[in-house]
Amino acid sequence: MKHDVEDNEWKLEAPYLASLKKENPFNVPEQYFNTLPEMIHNVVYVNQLKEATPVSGFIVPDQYFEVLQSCILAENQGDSLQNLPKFEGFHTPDLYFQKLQASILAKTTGADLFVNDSPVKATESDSPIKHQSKLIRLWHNDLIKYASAACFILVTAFGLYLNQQNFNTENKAADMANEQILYDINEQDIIDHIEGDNVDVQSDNTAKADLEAYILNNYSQSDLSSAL
Amino acid sequence: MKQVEDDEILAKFSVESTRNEAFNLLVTKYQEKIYWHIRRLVVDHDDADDLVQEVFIKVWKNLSKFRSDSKLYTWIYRIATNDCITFLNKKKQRNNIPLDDVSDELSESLIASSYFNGDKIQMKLQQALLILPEKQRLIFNMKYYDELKYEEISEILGTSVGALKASFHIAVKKIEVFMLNEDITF
Repeated sequence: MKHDVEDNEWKLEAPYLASLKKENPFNVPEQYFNTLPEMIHNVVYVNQLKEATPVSGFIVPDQYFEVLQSCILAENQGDSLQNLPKFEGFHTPDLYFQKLQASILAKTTGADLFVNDSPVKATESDSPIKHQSKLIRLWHNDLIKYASAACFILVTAFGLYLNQQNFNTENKAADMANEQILYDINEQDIIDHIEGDNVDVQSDNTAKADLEAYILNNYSQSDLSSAL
Repeated sequence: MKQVEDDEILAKFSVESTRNEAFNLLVTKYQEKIYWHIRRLVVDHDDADDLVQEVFIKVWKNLSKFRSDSKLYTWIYRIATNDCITFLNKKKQRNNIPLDDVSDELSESLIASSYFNGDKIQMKLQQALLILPEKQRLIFNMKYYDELKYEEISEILGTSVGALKASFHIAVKKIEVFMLNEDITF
């Protein structure tokens, strides 16, 4: 009773609102409440699974996220470069491409290029007139041919002669150099050299005498005769 | 269809073998009430759909800890109300609007909603509700539409009955003024 009074008190303060039919203006998709329990069960099941396996099992390489960050930053910088207007800074002379086309056409098909009903002239450097080179045959005359052969023989013979002369001169120079060495050697040096050779001979003779004495001392006459 | 008593649901839920059955009964019993409670607060059906699922996930997780200090449905209402308030606050932060002003956005949702079949007066009433502060709107909905008692609302919101009565009466007056203002038409 008390609740009813409390619940209806507001109707006195808001008669218009109280006069309105209390109805729910919202609606839901068809069969929504029929499918909602199943949906909730599925969500609860998935949630349980998620809690049961909190770790996904996937791992990433060491320092992966640091590298990833730098890669993303690098790509972003690449993108910002791509967004820049592509202006190379090079430029061509006025009407270059029209002239180029005209010149190509003139060289290939011989046709003139018309731009705005007026022919475009190719530049002088692109002129189609060719300078024909003059051909000169080297041995068109027999006289020149034989003269050339004679000259060749003369030059070759002269070359051989010079070479022979040069060889003789070199030999003479070598002989003279040897003689000069003999003059340059000191006389005493020559004597010492010869005596040095004699010492060797002497020592050789000494060795033979020692051998004779050794044999005579250690072996009898009969041993020597039997061995011989 | 006869509705199962809360005690029976709780008893079945406490047994491992009948836990799923109990939860199924609970969802069937309260899904519509909870859905409409949420829907009136967030307006959009898809948001309400997401929230109702989140609420029942929380119910499933925490029902074993539920002590019968309060009624089961007020406990579920409290979870739903808190989730709605959290959702609306997140929405305000996401759209960078003042915390007490989400009415414009909800109003747009209401007008654009394909799941609203009320007439002009109903539309105007809903617009009037949307200009109310969040808590007054909450109290009005629970009193006017859900016809809960002040004690039950007090249990759900943790607010005194006196404060609830005052808030409800202020809300009613604001709505009456809004509804009688002929300049506002839809």
